[in-house]
Amino acid sequence: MKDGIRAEGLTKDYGRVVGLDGLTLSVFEGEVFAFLGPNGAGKTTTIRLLLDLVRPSAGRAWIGGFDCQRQGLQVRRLVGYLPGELPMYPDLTGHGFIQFLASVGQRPVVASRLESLLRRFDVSETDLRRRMRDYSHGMKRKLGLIQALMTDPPVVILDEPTAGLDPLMIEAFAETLRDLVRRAGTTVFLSSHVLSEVEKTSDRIALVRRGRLVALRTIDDIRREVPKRVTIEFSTPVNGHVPALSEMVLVQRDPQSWVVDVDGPLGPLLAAVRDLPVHDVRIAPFGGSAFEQYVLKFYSDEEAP
Amino acid sequence: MFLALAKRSFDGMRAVLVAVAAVVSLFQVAVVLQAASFDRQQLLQTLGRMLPAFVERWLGENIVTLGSFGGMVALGYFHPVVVLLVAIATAFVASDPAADVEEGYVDLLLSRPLARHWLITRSAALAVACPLILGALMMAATWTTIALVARPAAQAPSARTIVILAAHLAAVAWCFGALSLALASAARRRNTPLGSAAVAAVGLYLIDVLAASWEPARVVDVLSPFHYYRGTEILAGVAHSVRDLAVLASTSVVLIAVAYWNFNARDF
Repeated sequence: MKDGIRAEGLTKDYGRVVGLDGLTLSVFEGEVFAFLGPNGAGKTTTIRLLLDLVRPSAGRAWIGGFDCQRQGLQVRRLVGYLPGELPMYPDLTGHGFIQFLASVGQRPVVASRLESLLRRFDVSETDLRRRMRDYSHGMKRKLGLIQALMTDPPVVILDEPTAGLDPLMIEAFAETLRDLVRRAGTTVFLSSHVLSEVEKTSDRIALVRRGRLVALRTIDDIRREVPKRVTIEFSTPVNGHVPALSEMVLVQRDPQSWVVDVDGPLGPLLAAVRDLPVHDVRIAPFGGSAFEQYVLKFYSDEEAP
Repeated sequence: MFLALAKRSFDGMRAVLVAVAAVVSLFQVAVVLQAASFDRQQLLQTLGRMLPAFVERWLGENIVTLGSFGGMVALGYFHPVVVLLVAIATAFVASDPAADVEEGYVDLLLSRPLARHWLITRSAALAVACPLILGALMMAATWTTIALVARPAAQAPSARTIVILAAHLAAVAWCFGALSLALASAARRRNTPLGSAAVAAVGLYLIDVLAASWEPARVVDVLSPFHYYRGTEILAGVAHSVRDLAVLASTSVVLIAVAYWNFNARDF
């Protein structure tokens, strides 16, 4: 697969503080790549390095094959960007804001795309005629997403894209991402703290902590790695021993049910209960708390798995 | 693209600039009205003799030029209130790159295919235009008010003299604008370049005044842009205008070059 974004040994040293320490990663073209980590881990620094807003102390990065520092203009021709905090021109209307950014962008706004984004994010003509000083946080966020996507860029970099959006708009955002990737093969690089969002929309995740990459996995890999919570219900009370399997942890035991976390294939567990009066076996779906617990392990200072 | 950037920058500062333009224009109207009144009452020469001694020392032997209708009208172009106001307004305009960083606009602008130098070019162009426009408004106010209120026999200053005064005023303002731009190119807050340039303007003005009567101040006075703007010498026709304007313009060019270099090398 071709790299949409690549970083090699990317380092940013802010004097005593290391913002980013030797980051090496590749984001494939047409991939939704989530960049996760606790506050101050180096996510925003990475994004700013990719956009040449910050110059690296060491290492290099490329977008679409162009060097982010030496060929910054070519890189930024390919990129749509949503900053973590959208700056406001309080005296501008929504229309004026879009027009201004279009005029300095030197990349034509795709009218049909703009219309579809406005519709999808439920931004009306009346909203666009209001001054930005009167916008709510959510409205500003929606306008931020629209300005990042309105030129149909091949690479999209989004810093906390769903912060402040209501659930309907979060769903609209997820749908937009799926549409971008499916229709145009857009490469999406996003940083987020909303893990349920990441799990639903991303193909791969990278986790950074204290400026260092600590994990790089596909969502499918994580799905396999995360212990499955299995609830086994029996039709009559079972008094025998719970089988001791190496990849299994007993979470809860009642006379008529066991709850176990299985870190591996389910075959051995199912074989072990074959002769018991099993009434039902429920496996908790992947996602939600399982994914969150997996990611949060990396957020903490403990040694990550 | 450049025009869109310049218009956005101007729109953000419009209220302040309109206020400054109104003040300097009305100041000029007031000066001409006063000069016309003194002229009708034949008080101008008496007024010249009433100036305090330190003002006489500061303005030198050419102070006599102020004792005429034309001299008093021209005073508006080198009056400290006007000169400092125009210089600080220019510094304000030039501090916009720091405001772009402070407000986060730089993220939106420079994440697009826009070379960094355009933000400096935009602010430099607006800073160059600012004192020229203010000077033009002052000249319009001067000539209009003279036409409306002065005696036909009153000796109005020549257009050439007024243009040279306005050119010096602009060149001094450019120095402080360029200083503000150089500081803004490395700053994260607008107040840093604006405050520094404003303090420098007031401080250097005071040094220029002090230098007239205090020998040690003369050593540093050559560093003050105001040293190269002697209004009474221009009125008397004895100023080295080309040399003075060249010094002021060169200083501005060097500071603007520093701004380009700084802004290109910095992190946002």
